[in-house]
Amino acid sequence: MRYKYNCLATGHSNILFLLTFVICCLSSWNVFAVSEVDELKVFLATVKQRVAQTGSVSCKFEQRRSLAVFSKPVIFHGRMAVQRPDKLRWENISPVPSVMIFSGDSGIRCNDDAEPVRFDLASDPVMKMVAEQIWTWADSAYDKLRDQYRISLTAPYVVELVPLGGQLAETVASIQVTFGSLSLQPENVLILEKEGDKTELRFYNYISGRSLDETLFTSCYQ
Amino acid sequence: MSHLLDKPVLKWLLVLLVVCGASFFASSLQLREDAMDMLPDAMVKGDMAIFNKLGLVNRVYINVGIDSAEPEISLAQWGALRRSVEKMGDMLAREPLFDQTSYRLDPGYELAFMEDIRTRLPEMLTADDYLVLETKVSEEGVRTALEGVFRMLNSPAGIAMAKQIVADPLGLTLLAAERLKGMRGEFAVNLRDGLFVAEDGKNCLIWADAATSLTDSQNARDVNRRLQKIIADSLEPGISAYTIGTLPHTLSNINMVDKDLKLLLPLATIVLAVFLFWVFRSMKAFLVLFIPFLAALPSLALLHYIYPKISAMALGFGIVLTGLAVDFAVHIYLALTRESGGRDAILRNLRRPVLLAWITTSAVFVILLSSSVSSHRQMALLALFGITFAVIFSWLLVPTISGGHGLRLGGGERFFSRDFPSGPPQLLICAWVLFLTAGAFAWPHLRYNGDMQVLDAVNDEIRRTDTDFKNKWRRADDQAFVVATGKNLDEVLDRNDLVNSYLAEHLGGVYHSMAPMLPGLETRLQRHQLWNSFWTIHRDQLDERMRRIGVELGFRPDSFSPFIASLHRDARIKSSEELLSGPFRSLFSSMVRDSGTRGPESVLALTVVPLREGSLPIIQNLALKEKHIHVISSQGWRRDVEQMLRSDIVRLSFLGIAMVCIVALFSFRRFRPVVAALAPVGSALSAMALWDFCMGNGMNLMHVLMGLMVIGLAVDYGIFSVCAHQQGISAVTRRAVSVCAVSSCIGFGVLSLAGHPALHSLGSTVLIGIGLAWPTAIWVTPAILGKAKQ
Repeated sequence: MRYKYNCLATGHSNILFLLTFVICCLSSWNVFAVSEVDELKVFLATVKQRVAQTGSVSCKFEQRRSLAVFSKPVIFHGRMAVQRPDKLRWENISPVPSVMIFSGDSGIRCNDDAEPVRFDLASDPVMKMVAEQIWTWADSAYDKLRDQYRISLTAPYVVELVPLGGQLAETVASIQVTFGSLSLQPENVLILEKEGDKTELRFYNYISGRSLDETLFTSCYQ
Repeated sequence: MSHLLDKPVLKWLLVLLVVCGASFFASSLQLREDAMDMLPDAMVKGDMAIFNKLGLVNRVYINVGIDSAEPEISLAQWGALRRSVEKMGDMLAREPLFDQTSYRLDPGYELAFMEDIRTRLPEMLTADDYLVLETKVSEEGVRTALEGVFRMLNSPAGIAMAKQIVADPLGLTLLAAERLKGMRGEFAVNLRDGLFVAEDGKNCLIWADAATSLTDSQNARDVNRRLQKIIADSLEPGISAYTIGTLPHTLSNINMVDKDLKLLLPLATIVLAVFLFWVFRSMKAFLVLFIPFLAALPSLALLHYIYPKISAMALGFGIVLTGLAVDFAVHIYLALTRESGGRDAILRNLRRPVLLAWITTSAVFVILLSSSVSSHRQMALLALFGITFAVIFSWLLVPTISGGHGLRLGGGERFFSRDFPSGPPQLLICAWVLFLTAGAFAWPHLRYNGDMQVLDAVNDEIRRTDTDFKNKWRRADDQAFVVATGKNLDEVLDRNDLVNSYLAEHLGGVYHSMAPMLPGLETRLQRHQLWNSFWTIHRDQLDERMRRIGVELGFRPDSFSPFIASLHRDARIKSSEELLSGPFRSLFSSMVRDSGTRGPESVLALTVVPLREGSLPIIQNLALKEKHIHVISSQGWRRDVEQMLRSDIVRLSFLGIAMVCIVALFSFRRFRPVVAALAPVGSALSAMALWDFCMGNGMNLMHVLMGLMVIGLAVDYGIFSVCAHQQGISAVTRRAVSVCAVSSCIGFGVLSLAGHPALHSLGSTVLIGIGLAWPTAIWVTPAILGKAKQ
C-alpha cells in the first residue's frame, strides 16, 4: 500500500513535472513566437524607414541561374536602378546585354539587336507578373505583400517569403532576401523554384539617395 | 321576352348579371407590360428573338468607377475599386434574378491563357502561320529563337516564366495569341487583376444577364430593386456605379408614365366632372355617363377568352377607347330628355344614327385588327367589344333614367344651344375648303418617323450615362451584330467561320469575332491536316537543330524534348465543346450562346462589326446568301421597324378612311349628305397634318394610331349631325356633339401636357383632330346640307 502510494506519489510528481514542463515550453514558445513576430515587425519597419529615406538607389548585380535546362550555371552581370515609387531599370550587361524598364504601368524591353518593345502592364499580364516579381525583392516594401506571401525572419537580416497561393506558388518555392547589416539594402536574393531550379542574385556597390538620370527610365541605351 | 325587357328593373338586372358574370371570368386575367408588345410581330419573332437568345436585351451593364480627377489612380484607390467590383460581381453571381454574371477572368488566367492556347495550336494555326513557321524552324530561325530563350531565361522574366519559355521556345503560342485581338467584343477592355478595366484605368465593367425579360416593367422593377441593394452593399467610399442597357430605359419610361398619369388623370377627372356638372346640373346625367363603362368588364372577359395574357398597354388604351361610347349614351340621353315627340318615336329616330355611328367606329377597329403589332390587335378587339357592349347597355338603360322630358337646361347646355354667329354658309364652306387645301398641301411633306426611340422617354441622367459609357468603353457609334445560328455547336461554328472569312475578304480585319479561337469542325479538320503534314516534314529536323544549337548556347541536349514531343503528328481533333471550355470560357460566353431550346437556330455565335459608311449593305449581302446568318444593326433595325410600321399604318389608315367613306356612302347614298358626314373627318385629318407640319416633329406611331381613332370619332359627329339635320333636331344634336367633343378634348387633351412622348403625341393628336372636327360637325356639316331635308 505504501509502495503503491509511493508509486502513485512518484507517478504524480512525474505527471506534475511533465505538466509543468509542457506549460513552460508552451509559454516560452508563445513568448518566443511573439518575440519573433515582433522582431520581424521591427525589422521590416526599420527597412521601410530606410526605404522612405532613400528615394533612389542604384547598384550592380551578379546573377547565377542554375536551371535544369542549362548544362551548367549561367552567370550574368548587370546594373539595377530604382527611382521610387514606380520606376525600375534592370540591365544585363554581360554576357548578353538586355534592358528592361518599368515606369508606372508601362515599360520598355530591349535586346541589343532588336528594336525596343514598349509594353503596357495593364494589357500584358506576363510583363505585369515579371514587374511584380522584381518589385517584390527590389523595393523591400513587404507590408503590402502580406496577403501574397508568408513572411518570416529566418536569421538576423534574412527575410524569407513563401508564396501563399496563385500561379507564383506553382513555380516559386521561396525567396530569401539577405540585407546588409549596415546599409539595410538587399545584398543577396535566393529564389528557389519548386522543380529544383534556383537563382542567386548578389547586389553590390550600392549608391543611394542620389538623383538618377531620367533617361535611365525612358530609353534603353544612352 | 320583349315585354319583359320593357321593365326597367329587369333591364338593369340583366345588365348587372352580365357584368357580374363577366367580372368573375375577367378576374383571372393576366396582364403583361412589355415594350415588345409595341413592335411588329415579324420583328419580335425575328431580330428581337435573336437578341433575346443572345441575352443582349436582358443584359445589364454596370460601370463601376472611382471618382478621381487625377489622370491615374493610386494603388489604394485601385484596391477599393477592385474590392467593390469583386464584391458586387460575387453578389450578382449568387443572385437568382441573374442567369450569368461576368466581371473577371478566373484567377491565374495569364498563364492559363498561354497554356490553353498552346493546346489549341493545331486548331488555331492557319496556312499563313505555317509560312512564318517555315522561317522559324530554319537553321537561322532556330538559332535566333534559342538565343532569345537564353536571354529571356536570364532576365527577370525568366524567373516567372521559365516553364512557359522552355515549353514553347519558337513562340508558337504568341503567333496564335494574336487572334485574341479579334475577340474584343463590343468594348475596348483592358485587364487588371483579371478585372475588365476601361482605358482610363478608373472604371471597371460588369455585365449580368437577367433571368427575366427587362422590357417587362414588373420584372424591371424587381431586378432594379435587387440590383440597387447589391450596388449599395458592395461599393466602398469614393466608388460609384451606374447601369446602362434596357433596364434604365424601361424604368425611365415606367416612371415617367406613372408620374404623368398620377398628375394628369386626377386633373382630367376633375376638369371633366366640373364640365359635365356645368353642362347638365343633374345627377342622372352622371349615371348616364357611368353606363358605358359597365361595358368594360364583359369586353375584358371576352378578350380574356381569346388572349390568356393581355398587354397592359392594350388594356389601358382599349378602356380609354371604350370611353368613346359615352358619346352614344349622351346622344340618347339628350334626345330623350330634350326632344319632343314621344319616347318611342325618339328612339326610332335615334336608331339609324346610333347604328351608323356604331358601324363606322367599329369598322375602324375591325381594320386595326389586321395590324402586325400584337398590342394594336388586342387594343382594337377590346375597343370593339367595349363599344358594342356600351351601345347595347346605353340603348337598354339610358331610356330607363331619362324620364322627365323638358328638364331644366344646365348652364353649359344653354351655352352650347346658342346660335353662334357663323357667317354665310358659302363663306363657311370656302373657309373649310381652304383649310382642306392647306391640309392637302401639308400632307405630302409629313415625315413619318417610325423610330421607336422617339417614344422612348429617357431623362438627362440616362442620356449622360449612355454617352459617358460609350466614351469610356469606346463603344462604336453604330455597329452591326452578325449572328450565325445553328442547331448545334458544330453547325454554328462552321457558319461562324463563313462569317469570318466573308468579313475578312470584304471588310478587312475591322471586326470582332471568336472564329479564330473557335474554328468550326470543317476548318479544324483542314488545319489538322496542315499541322500533321508540316510536322511530318519538319519535326525530326527541328529536333536535331534544337539539340545541336541548344548545346552550343549552353543548354542540355534534351532541354527541348518536351516541346518536340508536343508537336506530335495525328493530334486528336478537339470537340467544339472542349474548345468552348477552359480559361476563355467567360470571354466566349458573351459571344456564343446556347438558347436552351431545340430547333434549327437554337445555338448562336455573335460577331460584332463597327459600321463604316457603306459597310452595312456589304454585311447584309451575307445574310441574303445564307439564311441562318442574321445581320442586326440599330441602323438597319430602326429602318426595318420603321418600314414595317409605316406600311402597316399606311394600309390601316387607307382602309380606315375607305371604310368610313363606304359606310357614309352606303348610308346616305347622295353626294351632299355623304360629304357633310365626312366633313369632320376631312377637318380632323387636315388639322393633324397642318399641326405636324407646323411643329416639324414628324409623325410617329402614336399620331397614326390616334389618328385612326379620331377618324372614327369625327365621322360619328358627322353622321349624328347629318341625321339630326335630316330629322330637324339640329339644336339637340349640336349640344350632344359639343358635349361629347369637349369631353373627349378634355380627357385626351390633358395628355398633351404629359412629359412622356407617347402620351404627349396621343393627347395632342386627339386634341387637334377632335378640336377641329367638332366645329366642322356643328357648322360646316349643316352648311353643306343647306336647307334640304330628306
